[in-house]
Amino acid sequence: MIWQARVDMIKGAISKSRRHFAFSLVGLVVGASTLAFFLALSNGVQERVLNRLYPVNQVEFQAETVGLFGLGMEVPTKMDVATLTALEKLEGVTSVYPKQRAKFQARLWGGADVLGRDARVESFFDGIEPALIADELRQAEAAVLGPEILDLPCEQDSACGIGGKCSDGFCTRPTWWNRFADLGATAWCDNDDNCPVGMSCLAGRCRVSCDERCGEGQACEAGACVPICRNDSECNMGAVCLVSKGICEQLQCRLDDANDQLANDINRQRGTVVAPSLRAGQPCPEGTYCAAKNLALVHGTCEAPIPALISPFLLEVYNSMVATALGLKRLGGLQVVLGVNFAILFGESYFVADGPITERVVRRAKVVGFSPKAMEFGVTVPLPYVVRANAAQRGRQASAEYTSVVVETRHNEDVPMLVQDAKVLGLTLAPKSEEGRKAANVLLILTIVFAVVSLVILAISAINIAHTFMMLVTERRMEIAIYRSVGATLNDIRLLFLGEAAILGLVGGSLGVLLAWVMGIVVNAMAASVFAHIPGSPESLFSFNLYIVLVAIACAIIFALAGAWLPARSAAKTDPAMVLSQG
Amino acid sequence: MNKSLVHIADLSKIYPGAIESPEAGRGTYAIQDLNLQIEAGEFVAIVGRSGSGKTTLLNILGGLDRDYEGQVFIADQNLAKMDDVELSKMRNQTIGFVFQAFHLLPQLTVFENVLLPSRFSDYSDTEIFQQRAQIALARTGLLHRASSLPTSLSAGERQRVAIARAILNRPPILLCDEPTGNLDAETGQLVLDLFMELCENDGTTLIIATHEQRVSKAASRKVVLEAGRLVDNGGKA
Repeated sequence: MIWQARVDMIKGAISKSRRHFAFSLVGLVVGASTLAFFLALSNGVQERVLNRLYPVNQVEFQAETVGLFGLGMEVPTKMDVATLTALEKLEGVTSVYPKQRAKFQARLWGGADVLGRDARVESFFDGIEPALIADELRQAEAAVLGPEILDLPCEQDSACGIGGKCSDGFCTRPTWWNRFADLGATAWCDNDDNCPVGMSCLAGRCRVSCDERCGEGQACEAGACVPICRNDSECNMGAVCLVSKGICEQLQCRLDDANDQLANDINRQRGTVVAPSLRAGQPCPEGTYCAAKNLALVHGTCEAPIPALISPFLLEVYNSMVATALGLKRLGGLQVVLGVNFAILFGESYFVADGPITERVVRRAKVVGFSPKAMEFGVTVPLPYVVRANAAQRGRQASAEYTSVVVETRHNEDVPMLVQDAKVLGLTLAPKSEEGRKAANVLLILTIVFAVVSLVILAISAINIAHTFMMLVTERRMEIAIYRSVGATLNDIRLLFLGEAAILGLVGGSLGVLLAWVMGIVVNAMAASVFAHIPGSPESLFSFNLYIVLVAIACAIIFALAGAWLPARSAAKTDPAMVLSQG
Repeated sequence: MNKSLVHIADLSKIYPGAIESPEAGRGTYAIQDLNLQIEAGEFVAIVGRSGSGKTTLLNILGGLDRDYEGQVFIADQNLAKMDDVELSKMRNQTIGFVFQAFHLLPQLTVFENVLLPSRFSDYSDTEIFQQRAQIALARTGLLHRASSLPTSLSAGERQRVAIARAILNRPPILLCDEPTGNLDAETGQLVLDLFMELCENDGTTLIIATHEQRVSKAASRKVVLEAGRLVDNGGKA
């Protein structure tokens, strides 16, 4: 029997028994839609909520706390370079990114360029390896600002607007993601203990000490490794090339109220007298500011602002709560925060007494990106800044211990074993990763429960199909016998009924997926009105993909076939001689 | 190797009794120790009272009933040794059935009913089948009713549609079970003429179970069954 004939017969049979099939369809549609609905919900929550908060293939550890015998106290074990080295060697680990939290008090001041007036808040800092999020920052930036290469032919940079560059005949827009890097600032010191491990205090700054040789691109100058150069462009912002020596040196400067409005505001509030003069009568180069060692001093060096990241969650919290409560301007998309300037006041706090003026430091910072990996209620800066600041404020030991470490694994399946192995090193899951694991487990259990419920509905519909098909087989005994008399094989008869069931499953599954999709839209609309004011709530809770569509339809077909299996066998067993004789 | 198109040797068919016991035996014989040969092109009428085994014999010959003892050969093929696929192919290609109750599918048009055997054929050339269906309907005088539903036809017309269906694949054997039983005398004669034309012009072997003397007289040979036994094989050895 050729397939076209089979299909024609199946179509004919379905059209003849439309009512029976429509009745059988109901169960399949309900079952398939339930399955697709919950799979899409689970997938959506995983993709749009969990993966956003807890990245895949990534887990964060912190030092385990141990109880002090008899004292009822718990103290964390140490997480230092040795721990990181051991962690790197564990099975499945591809990268290890240590994080260090600022271990000193600090305030934040700024944001007037977008908020209308300066915000002044207690501040917390995380230091994170720039390499950990470079790609992510680039993608997030492209999602907001568009592609880096613009569809704008050019011959020189001036044709590409402010900050734009002409590259290979096309303009490129200004980029921010590549500014999240260590630019070497915040490294003043009085002695070696103010510097991180591996650095010494030389001429009032933390530097890598040397006898004769330094790494590539550096030279040993006065016992410290310094960058070598041939001209100014090879040095950091705020530094110039001393051509005679071939090394970079930061420009010396004096705080100047005409040049630095922010520093001016801060110093005026404190009553600090600032002389309006600069080194050699020149202001710091564009993009840099005059940074003094502490508030007691008016002399410093020209530095680039510290690059900072904020969490998109922080912006959502600001827009949905803070702006409303404080009557501030709501901010638009994430792009508005790029380039926002603010000052960090090390050693000051709204909650505890400020430190002595010689330990209080003002630094400028600039937002250069946003990332879910950034601290939710604080500011994330490149790790070396926090390490140096911790050393300067709390001593070398404070800078040698990391707060947590983000570990990337080859596969997500490597994580459970990694958690076990890390425990041996005295590491435990950071609260966020622990939450992620718990949330993922809860989601998995809920998905399984709802999938089982859906399958039970499909199983019930299969029983209904079995009942309907049994009735149809009885009704169609004569038809079956006629088919047999003109050459139908047993297999033809079986496939006829199974084909009808498969079509039923296909239609039921497809309608089920469609229904689930519509229900998803309805639930999203309801959720949007209920959760509108909750920061971080996703636009859609559902994520339908081809896999879910295929699984739902396949399940509907499988259960329809299962229901029709026995009736199809029974149809094939019809005795044509007896039926035809009975007329 | 048998020369006859149909060769039946020691054929017995028992319908099991409700209780099998030494007194009741194994059940009721529908056919008992039947031996019969039918040559190609013969028009054989099988006559006998109701329950004499005529329909059972046709069902066995058509491979619809496989529960028998003895041997049945159709064109040298032992039916007992054929599997379901081979038997189905034989019903599709070698044998055409015509029933007393016509057994047309009411949801299909006349043309679609005639085409029904083509659905179970291994050949996929629909054009050839459509041409054959038109020819078959033309021979039965019903081409003008091709798009009608069977319910709109008279009994004689329905039987002629059933005959057109039976001859679609041009089988060498037609098995007909009381084909004129539901028809009036005039219509019955039309159908009988059609059978005779098929036999004479196409060389189709006709095996017709019938009560009617008119049919048995028209046949080239009359085989008589009584209580499952062959009492007259129409003069053949």
